[in-house]
Formats: sequence, C-alpha cells, structure tokens
Amino acid sequence: MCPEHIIELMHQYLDEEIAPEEEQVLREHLQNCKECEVIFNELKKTEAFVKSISNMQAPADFTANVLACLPKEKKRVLAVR
Amino acid sequence: MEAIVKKRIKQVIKGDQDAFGEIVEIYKNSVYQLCFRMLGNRQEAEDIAQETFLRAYVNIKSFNQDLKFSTWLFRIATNLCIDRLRKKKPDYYLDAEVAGTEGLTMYSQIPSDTPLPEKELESMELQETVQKEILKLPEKYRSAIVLKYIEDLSLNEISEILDLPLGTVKTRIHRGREALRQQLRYV
Repeated sequence: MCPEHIIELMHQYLDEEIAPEEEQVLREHLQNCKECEVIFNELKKTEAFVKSISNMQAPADFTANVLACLPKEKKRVLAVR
Repeated sequence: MEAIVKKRIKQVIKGDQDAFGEIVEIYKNSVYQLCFRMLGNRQEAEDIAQETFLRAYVNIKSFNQDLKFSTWLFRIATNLCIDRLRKKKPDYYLDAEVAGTEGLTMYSQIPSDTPLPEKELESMELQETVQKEILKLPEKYRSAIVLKYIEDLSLNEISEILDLPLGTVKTRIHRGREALRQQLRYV
C-alpha cells in the first residue's frame, strides 16, 4: 500500500504547488515504487482527459437572446439617449 | 481585457444595452461551457447561462469594480447551476461522498497503462465518457474540477468564485481528481 503522504505530494505536484525538495522526495519514491508510479500516471492521464473536453461554443443566437430578455425600462432609457 | 470590460460596465450602468451585448460576447462561451459541464444538458446550460447574464445585468451596480468581472460572473453561474442541481436531484445524492483516499488501496492490480493516441483522445466517445464521469461527481467536487480544468482558473480564483478557503478548494480538487482517476483509468 502506498504511503498517503506520497499521494498528497502527487496532488501538490499536479496543483503546481510542490516545493523543490518535496518534488525530489516524490521522484525518488516513484522510481522505487511501481504502484505509486501507476497512480501518478493515471492522475496525469485523468487531467489530460478532462482538459481535452474544454472547448464549447454557446449557441449562435445566444447574445441576441440575452439582449431580448433584458428588462424593458432600460431600453427606454436607451431610446431616449 | 479587464480594462475593456470595466469601461463597458460603466456604459451599462448608464443604460447602454449594446455595451452589455459586448460583455456577453466576451464571456458567453466560458459561461455556457461551465453550465454545460455542471448540468450535462444543452438546453439547461443555455437557460442557466442566459439567466447568469440577466442577473449580472440587473445587479451590475452591486458589482465591486475592484474585483475581476469574470470572478463575479462565474460565481453567479456556479450558484445558479448548484441551485438547479438541488432542485432536480434527491437529497441523499447531495451528501454522497466520493470514495476519497480509501479508494487508493485498490490500485494493486492495475496493469501498467499505455498512453492513448491523440486522435482517440479527441474522439467524441471519450469526450462523452469524461463528461459522464464529471456529472457523477458530487456537486461540490464537480464545480471545483470544472473551474480548474475546463475554465483553466487558478486555485485562488476558484476560492474566490466558490467563496471557500483555499484549503477547502484544494481538498475538493484532490478528491474530485481521485474519483475521476478511478473512473477513467481503464479508458
């Protein structure tokens, strides 16, 4: 079973918040522990998967729909302008 | 970007709706995407994204202009998504904890993984699988994961949006990431 503090270091690494000396501890552990290495690779793969789905576009008429729903009194102000 | 937005906000406060249209154009994709990843349904995502901008418009005077506008906007969107989720899901689901660290003891028989080819990574099927797994996360982990990985925000910004201490945000991201790892490791 892998030590909990190593798992914690993996998360710190992924959050880019790991201190250099801690990163050294993590790297040394990963070289000697196949199981932790597998977990670490899976975490990195998970990140890549989740990032890969980010690219959605709002529907084409989105802005027009929002503007059409704005409260009417403001429109009058605009017309007077 | 922020400077342009601040200028537009001043115009909106004076009653200029076209200026608000420009703000919507700038943020519509990120707000829509946040809502879609939280809710998993295009129509609902559109409704909630639209509602987000309407609330922002109506409350624009209460926006503290020393803050980043996107932080405020994402906070409105996240809160509306969570409200919507609470209305549609039974209560027991909300309190369901993802197997956090306990699950880590189950790794022992994992075969070593091979990286996927890029085209497979981009496939619709994978996208759907990932989206499905995000939707299985309890909402508190889901919002943190979506803000971090889909919106690509810093932990500090996420902490402001969710109005939570930084440590809590980190814990949620760690738990969410671990839950997703367990679901996606054989993909």
